[in-house]
Parts: sequence; C-alpha cells; structure tokens
Amino acid sequence: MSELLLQGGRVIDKSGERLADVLVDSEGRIAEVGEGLKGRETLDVRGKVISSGFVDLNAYMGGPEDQLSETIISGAESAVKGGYTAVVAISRNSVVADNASSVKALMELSQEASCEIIVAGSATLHNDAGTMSPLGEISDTGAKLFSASGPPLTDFETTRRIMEYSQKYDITLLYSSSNSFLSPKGVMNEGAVSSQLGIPGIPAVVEEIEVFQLSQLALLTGANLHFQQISTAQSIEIINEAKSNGASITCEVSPHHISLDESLITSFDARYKVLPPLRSKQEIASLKELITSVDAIATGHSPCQDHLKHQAFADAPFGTTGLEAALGASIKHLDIPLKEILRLMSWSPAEIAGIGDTHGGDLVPGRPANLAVFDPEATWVVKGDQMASKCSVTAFEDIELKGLVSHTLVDGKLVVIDGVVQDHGR
Amino acid sequence: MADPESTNTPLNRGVFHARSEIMNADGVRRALWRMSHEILEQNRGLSGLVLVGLEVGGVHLARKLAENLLEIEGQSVPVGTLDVAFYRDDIGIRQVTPSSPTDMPFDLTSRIVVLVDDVLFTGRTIRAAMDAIVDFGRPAAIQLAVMIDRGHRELPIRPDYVGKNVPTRRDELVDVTENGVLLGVIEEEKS
Amino acid sequence: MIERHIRSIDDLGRSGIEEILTLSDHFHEVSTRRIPKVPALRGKTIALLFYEDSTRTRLSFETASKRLSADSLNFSIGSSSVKKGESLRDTVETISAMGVDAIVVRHGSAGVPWLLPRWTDAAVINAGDGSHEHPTQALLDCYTIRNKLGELDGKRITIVGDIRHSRVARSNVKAFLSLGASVTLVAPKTLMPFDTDDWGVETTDQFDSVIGDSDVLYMLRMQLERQQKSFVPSLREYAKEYGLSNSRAQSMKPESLIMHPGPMNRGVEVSSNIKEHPNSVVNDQVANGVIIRMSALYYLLGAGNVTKLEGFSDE
Repeated sequence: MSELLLQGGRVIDKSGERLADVLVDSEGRIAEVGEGLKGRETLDVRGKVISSGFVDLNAYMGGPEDQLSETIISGAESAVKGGYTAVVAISRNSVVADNASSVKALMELSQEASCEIIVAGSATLHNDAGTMSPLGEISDTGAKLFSASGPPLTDFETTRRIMEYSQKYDITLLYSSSNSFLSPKGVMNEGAVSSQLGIPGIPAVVEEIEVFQLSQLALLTGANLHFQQISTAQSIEIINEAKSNGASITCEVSPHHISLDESLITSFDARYKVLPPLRSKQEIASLKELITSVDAIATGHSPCQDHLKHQAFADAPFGTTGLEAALGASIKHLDIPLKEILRLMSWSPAEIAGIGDTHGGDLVPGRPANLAVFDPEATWVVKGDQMASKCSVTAFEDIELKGLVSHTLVDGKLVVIDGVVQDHGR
Repeated sequence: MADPESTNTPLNRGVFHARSEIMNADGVRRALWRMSHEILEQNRGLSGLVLVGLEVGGVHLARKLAENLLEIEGQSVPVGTLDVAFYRDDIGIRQVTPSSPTDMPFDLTSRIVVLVDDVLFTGRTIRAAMDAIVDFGRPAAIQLAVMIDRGHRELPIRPDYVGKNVPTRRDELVDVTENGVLLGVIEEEKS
Repeated sequence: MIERHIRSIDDLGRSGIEEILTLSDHFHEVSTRRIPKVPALRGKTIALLFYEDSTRTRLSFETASKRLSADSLNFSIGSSSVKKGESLRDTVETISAMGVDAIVVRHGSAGVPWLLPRWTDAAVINAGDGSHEHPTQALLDCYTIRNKLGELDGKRITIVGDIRHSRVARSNVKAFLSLGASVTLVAPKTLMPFDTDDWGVETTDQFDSVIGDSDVLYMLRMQLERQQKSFVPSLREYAKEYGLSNSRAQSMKPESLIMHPGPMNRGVEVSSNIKEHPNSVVNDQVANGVIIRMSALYYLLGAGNVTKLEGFSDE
C-alpha cells in the first residue's frame, strides 16, 4: 500500500470543519492533515467532504448459507458503497449467533469483508426466546452487542434476568419493538391510510408501550440498552425521560422513518412494508424535531430475496435495504448541520458499538484511515438494480436523495472509487 | 342525428357542418308515404308484419311508417326498437356504446320483419341487426327500409325500400330528421 | 389505447359508475330475452383468478362472460399452496402469457389488483381484495337502489355491521357518496375503522337513532369467526344491539329498502325472516349481480379499452 493523498476536501470531524488535505500512510493510518501536503498517489476531492467512515448499528446479514439474500460479504459491499466502514451485523437465518462457535464462525467470515463487521450475539436462544443464551461464553469471543429482541411483553422475567446477568460482561443489549401485541396481524401504521386501505394497522402506541417498559426495566436493573429503529416522537421522549433518570440507554432512528411516509402504501407495493411501519407525515415531522436527542442513525438494512416482495402487501416479509441510501436520505430530509448528521452516522454509533478507537474519531495522525468521501450537494435517484446489495427491492426506489458517497477508505485502502465498489476484499 | 353507421367517423371529436340539403321536410314526408305504400304492396297487406326501428336514427322513421300504415289500412303494426351495439363487428376496435335499450316485446318467429334505418352505408349495421333479430325468433322474412342509400357497401346487402339514393364521398356524413336530410362533414372542434 | 381497470370505485368516479349503470339497463333487457346472450365479446378471454373461495362471485362473473360470448378460464388457487411456491408475479405472468384480455381477481390481501398491471397488459377487475374493496358489489347495489328508489342523489343510506373488515362497505361508501347519497355507518367501535375522518360519512354506535331517517338499511354480514377475537362479546349481544329485527324493521320508513350482500347469517345481523320482508331487495341484488358484471366486462373490453387493427381507418 502506498501513500495516498486526499487533496482539497472539506474535513469535518468533532473538532470542526476545515479545508485540508489528508495524507494516508502506507500502514493505512492518517499521517497528516493540513494544507499543501504532498503524496505519491493523489486523489482530488475538492468540493467533497472527508469524514470518518459511517458506522451502522443495525444491518441484517448472515453466513454463506444466506447468499440468496445477503451475506456478510455482499452486505459489506453495500455498506462501503454507502460510506460505511463498520457495520454491526445481525444474523437471523441460517447461522444464529446464540452460541460462541457460531459467533466465531461469523467473525472469521467477516475477515473477508470489505469493511469491519461487528458480529452481534443473540441474548436468547434461537429455538427458545424464553431462555438466555450463554452471554459469558459469547462475550469471550469479543462480542459486545447482543440482540435481545423477543416478545418482551410475554416474558418479562427472562427480559429482566438478561438485563441483570448481562452487566458482568459490560455488554449492550439491542432491543427493537415487537410491534405485535396489540395487533398481531398489523402490517402498516394504524391511521387514516390503513383505515382507507382496509389493511390491518399497528398503532404507534405499541412501540411506545414497549419502549416504556424496557426503559423502566433498564432503570431497575442498570443494564445497557440500545433501542433499534425508534419511529415515533413519543418513544424518544420516553427514552429521554429515562436517560435523565439515569438509565444507560441509547437509541437509533432509521433513514426511511425520517424520509418515507405511510401514504406510499396506497400503491400496495410491498417494498414499503417495514417494521416498525412507515409513519404518518405528522409523526415524521415530530420525530425529526427530536433528532438531535437521538444517538444514531442506523439503517435496519434487511434485505430479502426479490421475489418475496412480489407478493400481496400482507404476504410479503418486512424490511428494506438502506445502507446505500442512508446518507442521502439523512442530508435530504434532516434540517440539521452536516456535522450533526456525521455525529449520528459516524462518531456516536462508533462509541455505542465500542469501536471508537478505530472508527468515528477525529481525523488526526496515527488513527486508522477509515474514511468516507462524499458530495453533500449531489442529488441522485435511487435505483434498486444499481445497488451493491443482493436485494434490489428497496423502499427508496425512485426517491430523490441528496448526498452521494464517492470514495470509502477502510484501513487506508480505497474500497470504493468514484462510487464503484472495488471487487477484492480488504 | 348524425349517421350512426359511420364507423369511420371520429366520434365525439368534431361538429357536423352541413354542406347541402338533399331533401326538405316535404320530401321526407312524401318518401315515407311512398315507402308505406310499397311495403303494403310488396307484402299484400299487413298480416304478420312488424316494423323494427334501429337505434337511434331508424326509430322515429319506423314509428312514422306505422302511423302511415294505420292511416292507409286502418290496422296497427307493432313497432319494436333494436340497439345493435352488442352485435357490431368493430367492438374492441373502437368504443362501441349502446344508445337506448332494445324494446322487442314480441316473438319474431314467422313474422315479416321490416328493419328500418335512416341511412344505409357499409351495410355492417344491418348485418349486426339481422344477427340480433334471429335471437328473437325465426322470422318468415327480413326486409329493409332506409331513407337514404348512400352507397359504399362492404357487405352483400341491398334495401327493399329506399327514400332516396344519394351518391356521397366516404368522408361525408348524412343527417336525417323529419325536417329534412343534410349532407355535410365532421370538422374538428377548435378547442 | 384507453387504459381502464375496475380495481376500486375510485377508478370509475361518478361518470364511470353512471356509464356502467346505463349499460346495465341494456344488459337487463338482454337477460330477459329468449336467448339471453349477445356476441359482444366474442374472441375475448377472461381469466378468473380466485385466491379465495367464492362460488357466488366466481359463478356470477363466469355467467356474465358466457352471456357476452367471451371465453373464461378458471384459476382457483388455494392460499396455502401460494405461500409454498409461485409468487403472485409468477402466476400473473403465466396467465398473461396465455393471452387474456381481462383478469378478474379475488385475493385475501388488500391491493393485489393494483399489483397486476405491472405484470400483465390485461384489464383488471377487483372481485374483492382483503378488507379493501369490492367494486362490482357496490355497482350492483347502486343499480338495485336506483331501480327501486330512483337516482341516489339525496338518499340517506345506513350501513350497519363490521365496517372495519368489510370490503363491501368501503366500496359502497365511495359509490354512494359519488352518486350524491349521504351515508351513515353504524357499528360498535371495535368494528368501526380506526379513522374515518376523511370518509365524508356520519358514524354512530346507536342503530335505533338512525333507522327512521334511512332510505336504505344496508346490513353487512357478520363474520362469525370474529367474535372469537373479542370484537363483540357474543353474537347474541351483537344481534340485540345491531341486528335488524322485525321490531326495528317496523320503525323504517314505508318505502325504505333492506339490503344485504349475502350470504346472510339469519338470526345474527338480520332476524330469520327479514329476507322475505316486503322491503327487502336482497333477491334483486342477487339477480342484478350477473347484469352488473356483464356491464363491467363490457365497460372494459367493449366500450373502453380499444386495440387498433392493421388497416382500420379512423379517418
């Protein structure tokens, strides 16, 4: 690896914004940040932003058996195209991370991925959501994040025990709302649109009740909780209240929940079927007002085989891809400074994932060059079949976004050049 | 009423502009009297005879013929009305919309059916009408009375009773009312 | 090419509804003939794609196709076999490859008729999609009311029952409002849609308060399995609060109509002999089913969607 000079970019990190060159040394570390630098290989990035690479806390991707939908390898390609240098991978299908050997296998596979993959463990056994998985053994592999989503209302006792037991290992439990207990058949937001379409609805209050219950248990037990894919303003207020009472809680919001609303479902296209569901325009507006108290933007990237989305709305699976649209959706739809968007997409999630030493920090000499280079003004229209993800069905299809990644560096290596994913691994 | 058989004219896309008057009201009235007498003479009376006016242009002519026949013979002739839209051969090629529901309150078996229309053009309406008629029974005979025969036949059909033969261009239109017969063209409406 | 579908009453609007009601006068006449059949759609092929069992609706469309001289193809697909294999798209593309001019589709999930045009050029008729719409039922109901009471403008129509899960109610509300009637929905809150603010209707849970003002009492079928989900405490209590009993029928205006989309649960939403009540037009609704479906098919394939033939001059 030779020296690489990123010339003339807008460098943005926690310490501020400046016009500067960034020199990456042959070890893949930042050698120098300043004006008038020289390097052997030069990349002109004038007009573009150079920031620490993005960190996604919530993406579904699995082992080799998942290759029809998304493996860690294909998912990582989608991630780097979106400017991500690290992704928390949740494996839900063939390999379930509820034991140490499965987690190790996923970590080994991750070595081949084009960005850093943080394998999340599962806090309950796959076959028995009421039984705690061996948190200690799994955390010995290095896993720090554990997906704990189950049916929380039906089994409070296990939920509480997991929260208590987890603390010895200093791990963080990832929770997403089941969104099911009030309306098991619900497939979209409950409201005027669902009433009109005759589609069973999921009321926003389901998420809020679950968030409240888990927050109270977090206060009771002292566990570290991270709420995935919060989709209502009221949920954020409940979380903020618990935080102010001393709970160790963080939360994320997904790009599609701030950019796409329920009225898209009048087309009955299953690409808009996600969980939590797309909310009303008013809800989205209220959610966006509270975005600065949110800890991260995370994609909830959940690809599936395309044909599964070519079904009736109620019959198709939930989920959309999001890694490649996240930056563009955030810049287009959030009326906040770019630096704040980078906090939500890079340095704050890096801290939550426990990788703040290598990702998301300030651009200073000595740190690994995990960087994203993007044009914050570029508008583009999403086309699913041009995505790096194996799943070409996306809720962002034909949506215009603003902000496009041109280059991604993982440990100093260019894995995306001019928007094209380089086909060899790290 | 513009010629309903003009399958080749764009519907609802223009306005009829008269170029010349072919018959005046008296001419129409006299032609109907003559045709009434011809029907009587041809069929040696009115026994078993029914008149079937084709929607829309033939209906008022059929009623008028029935009035005349009542006056001449003192005997009333049943009048039915027939909308042939569902029997046309150009359904699916152009928009075919029926006008008024068919009213045929009698069986046509063994009757002499005189079809009445305003204008005979390609003959396709009459072909459709004959197909429809046999769904109402098996007539002894079907005859055809038209006020204007304008030529351009596309099927082997000829009228039995004609008000007037008028040579026309294909793109022209014939408009028949009790007030007379006009020859003209459809002109695109300026929007 | 004129693109026409009947997926929702919204696809028709007032003018489309009126066009179909007018066509129905013609097809009503056809149905009284010795040979109740016309060659209007000779050579057309109509696929009946039914993912839910519905013998009545399917037979009604099949009879309508035959009376228009169209060929009909039956695809009755159990929903369980669908989940195992073929996607909806595969099925539709297969049917489309056989060369069909219209697809009549019934499906347990809302919205399927909107997905079909992505995969086929055929005209689409919705024969019921989940709890969403059932436009031909609404059309035959409008036709029945118009024939009995005259134009719907200014009429007061009350729909009673499980509005929340009813595709009949959703289509009928749209159709009745389009034609100028006013609509009141009567249901306990558990069976009322969550949000009807934009519907342009009145809602109440007091059935007795609206009976005397109604020109039409439209009783919805109570899905018997619903009571297990605690939508109502018991069918007995439902019948007492929302059923059309003989005593409730006595407080109707003398010329008002009793309607029901069938099949009827006698003793639940209506008392056992209501179908035979002098104001009941339930049998007319059934009789008008075939006529309306002839009109719907002809509206799409005869009066509507047009294909240009080589050499056919439009000048």
